[in-house]
Amino acid sequence: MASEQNVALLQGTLDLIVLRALSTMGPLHAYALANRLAQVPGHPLSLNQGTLYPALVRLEHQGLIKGVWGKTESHREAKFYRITRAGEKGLKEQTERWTRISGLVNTLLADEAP
Amino acid sequence: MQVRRFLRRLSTLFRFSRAEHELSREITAHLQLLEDQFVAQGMSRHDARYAAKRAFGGVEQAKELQRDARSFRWLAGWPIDLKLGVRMLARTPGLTIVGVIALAAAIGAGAAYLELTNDILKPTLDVPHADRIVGVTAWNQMQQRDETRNLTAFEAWRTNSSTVEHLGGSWPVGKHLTTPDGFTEAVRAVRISASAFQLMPAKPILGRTLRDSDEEPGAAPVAVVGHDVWQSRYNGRTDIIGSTARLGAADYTIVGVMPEGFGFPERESLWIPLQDKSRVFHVFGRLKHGVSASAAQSELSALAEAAMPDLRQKHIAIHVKPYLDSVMEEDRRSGEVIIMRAINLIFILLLGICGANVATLVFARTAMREAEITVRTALGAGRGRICAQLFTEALALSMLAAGAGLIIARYIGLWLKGLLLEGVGPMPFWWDDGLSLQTIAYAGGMAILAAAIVGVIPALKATGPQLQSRVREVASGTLTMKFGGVWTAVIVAQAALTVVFVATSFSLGWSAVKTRAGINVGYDRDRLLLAGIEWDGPRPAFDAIADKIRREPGVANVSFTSALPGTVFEQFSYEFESPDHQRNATTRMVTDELWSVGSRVDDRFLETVGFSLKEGRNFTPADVRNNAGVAVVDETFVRTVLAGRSPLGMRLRQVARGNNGQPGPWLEIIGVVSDAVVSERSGTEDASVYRPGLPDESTRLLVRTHASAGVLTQRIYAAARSVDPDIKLVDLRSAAQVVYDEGLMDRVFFRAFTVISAVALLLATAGIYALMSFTLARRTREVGVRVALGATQTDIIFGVFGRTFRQIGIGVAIGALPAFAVLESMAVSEGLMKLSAALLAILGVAGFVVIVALVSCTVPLRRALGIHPTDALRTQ
Repeated sequence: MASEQNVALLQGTLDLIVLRALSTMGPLHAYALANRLAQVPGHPLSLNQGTLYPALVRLEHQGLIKGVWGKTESHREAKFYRITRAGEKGLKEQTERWTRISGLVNTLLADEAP
Repeated sequence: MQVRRFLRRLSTLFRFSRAEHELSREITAHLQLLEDQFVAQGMSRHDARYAAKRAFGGVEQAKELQRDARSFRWLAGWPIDLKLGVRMLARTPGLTIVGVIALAAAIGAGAAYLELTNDILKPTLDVPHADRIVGVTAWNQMQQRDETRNLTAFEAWRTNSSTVEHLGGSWPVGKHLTTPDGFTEAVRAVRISASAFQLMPAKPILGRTLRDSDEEPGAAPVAVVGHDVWQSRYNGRTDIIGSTARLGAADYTIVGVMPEGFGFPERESLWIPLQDKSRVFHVFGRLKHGVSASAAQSELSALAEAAMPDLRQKHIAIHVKPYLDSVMEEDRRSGEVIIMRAINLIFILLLGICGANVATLVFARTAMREAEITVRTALGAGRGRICAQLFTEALALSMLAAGAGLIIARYIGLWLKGLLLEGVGPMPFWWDDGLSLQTIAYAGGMAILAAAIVGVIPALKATGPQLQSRVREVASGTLTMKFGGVWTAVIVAQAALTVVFVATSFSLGWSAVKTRAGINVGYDRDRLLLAGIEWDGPRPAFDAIADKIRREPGVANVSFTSALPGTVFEQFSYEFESPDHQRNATTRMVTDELWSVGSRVDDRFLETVGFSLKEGRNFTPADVRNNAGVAVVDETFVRTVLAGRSPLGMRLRQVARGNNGQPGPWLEIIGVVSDAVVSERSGTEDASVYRPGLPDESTRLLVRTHASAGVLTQRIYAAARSVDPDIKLVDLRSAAQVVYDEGLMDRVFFRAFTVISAVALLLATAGIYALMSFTLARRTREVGVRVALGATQTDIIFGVFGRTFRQIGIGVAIGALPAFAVLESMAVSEGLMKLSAALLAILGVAGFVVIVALVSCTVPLRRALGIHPTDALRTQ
């Protein structure tokens, strides 16, 4: 039960986290993205790197990000994802929504705390 | 954004392999980068590769999740699923054969029925501009029928109409065709405008069609013959052009032969020019381009009023309708249409039964694949994905069945057509032998419905919530899938539907056939010939014709009647008046509306048919000539309508119907004759009233012969022709043949239901057998232990199969009630079947289903009892 809740939470927020990362870091491939999420200061996000792929394809289908094949510094091929203009707009909207909801949830939790 | 995503997902469906390649490439690159990272941290390449895979998580699982996100996964795998489905068909041939037979029977029967009803109810014309081809009718509002004898407006329409082109008319020829070899027969011949051949463009096989110039006064008499006449009467001779066809007393030179299937206006096979345009039976034409039927109707009505000033006084309205509506109106009464359409539900019910049976078999197979399904789920396949796979597999089966069903439907169509040709004569020219697109689509729809029943129910069951917990069991080698709650419902429903369907269809079919065959009808049907009489000249000399035929060797007697005894029923109330001698008054009595047989006959009728006079007297020639107010009734009439009162001297008449109706004339009952029975009935349907009457247009000729009737037909034609060459004896057949032909639909339904019932029973048998084998396979260990502990065969049967028996028992009991309700309302209350027979039929089928269940146990049971307890314990 506990693990199911974690997954649900991740699915709801992973898209937002990916968008945010691409917005601040510029174009990234899935591997770099996973590394970046694992290195968030104070809150390292532990996830199987494979779980990023559904989020990437979802965002790409929505036109929020765009993937292009390129070369890494080590001359390996990789698909680089960059955030689109629609993605920036979406990120703004989703961030506002997240802030609103999380604020509401925090308030509710604080009110009802013993 | 959601719309965009939906479209992208949809488009990915069709780029499956490209998307798949892209994904593999991306994940490979990802793993490579991870591997590089671990190597940089000091691992060996080999160790780094494994570490990369661990860090990535399950590769296949990630792929499955990405596939789910990028496309409609349950749809995306259909090409593979279909391939798997086809392979599965080949792997379990027994199931495939039973499944295809079962579903094909249901789909085929449904498709054949739909095709037949569409051909009857909404046929289409397969000619250019079919939607503009119209029929013009003159509707007599007072008499509620089409005015058919005189359409004097025809000539005015033909010369003046600006809305209808190729306007033409026709008038049937009431004469025999005599061919140069001296053979006479009644063919459907018609006088027709040459424009008909432009309206229905068909190239003659030989010679030419009729021309306008053939209609001019003084033109040489010519005829065009149909394919069937050419083949049967002229042996398909290619030098037929220029031969003679004699119609009545007139000779016509044959100028053309039409191809097979040409039968305009309806089902004609001989056409001569319409020279006398004062008599037109049927008017047709084509709306000019852009003209509506109502505009044409207005114009033709105005032209008709100008030509026939008394049109309004005669309450005649001119109607312009689509051609087929104008020729087959009465076949499409709404009540009958609804019933005919509703019968489709029976076939959907049948598909439900067959589908449920096949689903039972498929579930047994699905259960055997439990391990495969569980492992696939563990690898990340969702429930929808597994259901889609099982649905596609079932679809492969049901599509195969639909294909077979359509072939069956086509053969049923040809078989029915053969029967109709034999019983009713040529089909109308618009009859289409092929299967319509609608029928093919219907079969496709039935296949999807069948796949839903056959595939989805077992799939939902197999992928239920408890599935996750099965992974462990699969690993430990124990399989646990059971027939649970849904399945109980399916088995109960299956047993119930089998009882309902088999009991009702068989009993109804049987009672329908029984009413027609093997009943003593009260007269010898084999040696009684009858024919309709048509003429289009002056009234024929009926007496002279009867005398001439009566003098033929082998002929015992000749008479005229308006209906063959016991074939035409009417419904009305009778009013009676009987003299009450004691009180010197009359008592009156009015019956409820009831069915009875009324016919107008001549003085030789009773003798010709072979009835014996029980009381009173027969009609005299004077009664017939003067249309006297007398009647003869039969014993059934005395028993059922008069409730046994003494009939002689009593007066009766038909009570007026509705507000404007007129009562029938008073008739005095002068005699009682023996019964003419058509079927075993308890009601009044066979109660007959005979009245004297001279022959008229509805009269039929009756000929009682000494020997078998067949050889006499040519002599009867010849005798009639020698007195009056211009009359036509139509449908000269023995009474036995008439009754046989009238029972055509009953026989069709009986045969169809017999086949379908047999299939339903076969399926029930296969289904129950599979169920028993399955149950036992699951409980082999238990049986082994029970046997080891000394359980007897009976203990095992009831211990192991008890649940299944209870389910079947409940199903049979549930099915018996509606089956009885149907039989009671359709057969018992109509007197077609005794109550005890209905109960016996239901008990018989119910018993059969139970016996099938018992027999089904024996093979698996014997197998189970032969298992050594130690082997049983080792199983699984």
